[in-house]
Amino acid sequence: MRITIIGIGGIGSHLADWIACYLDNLQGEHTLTLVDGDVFEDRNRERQSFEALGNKAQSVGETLAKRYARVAIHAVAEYLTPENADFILLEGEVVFLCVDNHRTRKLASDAAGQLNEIVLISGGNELVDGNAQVYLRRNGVDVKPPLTMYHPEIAFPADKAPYEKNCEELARAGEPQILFTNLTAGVLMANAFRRLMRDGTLPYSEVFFDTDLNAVRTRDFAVKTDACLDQSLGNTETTEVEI
Amino acid sequence: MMKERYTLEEIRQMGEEEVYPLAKDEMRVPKAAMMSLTELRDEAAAWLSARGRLIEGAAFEGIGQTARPSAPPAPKPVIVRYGAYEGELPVAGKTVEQVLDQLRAAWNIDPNALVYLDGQTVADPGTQISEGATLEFAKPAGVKG
Repeated sequence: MRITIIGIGGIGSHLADWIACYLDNLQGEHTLTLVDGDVFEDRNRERQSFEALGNKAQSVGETLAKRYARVAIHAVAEYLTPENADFILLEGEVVFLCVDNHRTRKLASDAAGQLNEIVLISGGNELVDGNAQVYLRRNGVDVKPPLTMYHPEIAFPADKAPYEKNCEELARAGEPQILFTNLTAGVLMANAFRRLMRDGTLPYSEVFFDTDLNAVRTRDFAVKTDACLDQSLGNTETTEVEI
Repeated sequence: MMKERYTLEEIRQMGEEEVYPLAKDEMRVPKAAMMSLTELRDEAAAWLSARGRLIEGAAFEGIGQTARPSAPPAPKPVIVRYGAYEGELPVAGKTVEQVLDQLRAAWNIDPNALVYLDGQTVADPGTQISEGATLEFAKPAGVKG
């Protein structure tokens, strides 16, 4: 199995450890690739899991390689960009997208849309709530909708990707986040992955959560054809879960 | 002395001392003396309805109607969703904008959230919501991570 995690921050730095552990205990040979152009700073310790400062992908990659010897771990010390997206999102992979901006989510979703077989699991959060989305393609067809389909804020992102920011913008501290919100997003992404690996399918394409309410709700948004884009949800079911 | 027209409610409120003379003397209902109060009221309502003297479309439908007024069924609740929130709310008949105003603060609904009514995009916030409908405010994806 080949898994890539893009974004090794509040969600990705924890998720990487769980996925590496999962792969380490799975039969066969498996590869985990970590992708991030950012570096760890001491102030990140309140929310992000790492041992050494420096590039996030490399730092976490080295830690996990020591911890999980059966998994081949690679680090790509770059942000996802239009130039490298085709080399990072590869045919037949599972990709966890743990980035902090919609422009990169759109880039990843569009790149995935060029592949025949891909699982793209994206997570994001605000202070106490967030969501996870699953974009699934099989035989060149969308089985679960792209990240952009029901989210115009991703389809037409107003923010900048890190590779578009200047040094001052990059150095600026992000908005406050809560560790437990990041962890909840990561767990829901991992749950979706586990269910997909076990059943080959998912009864939902998106899951919303609210950590204040400890509420989780899944939705199965249908893949819309060109004829009904922007007109309807085409959705089917909602399931409410309280955790 | 009978009035020209009565409402069904007025007949329901009549006591025996009022409805019996009406039934016996004015309406000349046979065997009125042997009838119960409910039967007298029913007879009065039927007599008046047949002559177009029962007000407000209260078409008399049968015996016992005066004794058992039927309440209109409650409208089906509307399913309203936003992210992890979902509820069945009595908002049928309200507009989308009214529901949004009502829930915006409680559910922290994003002002730019797309709105879907029964799965279809809502362009006009003045759209009225039918009973039993599903109203969804599409929660934007979380940005951070």
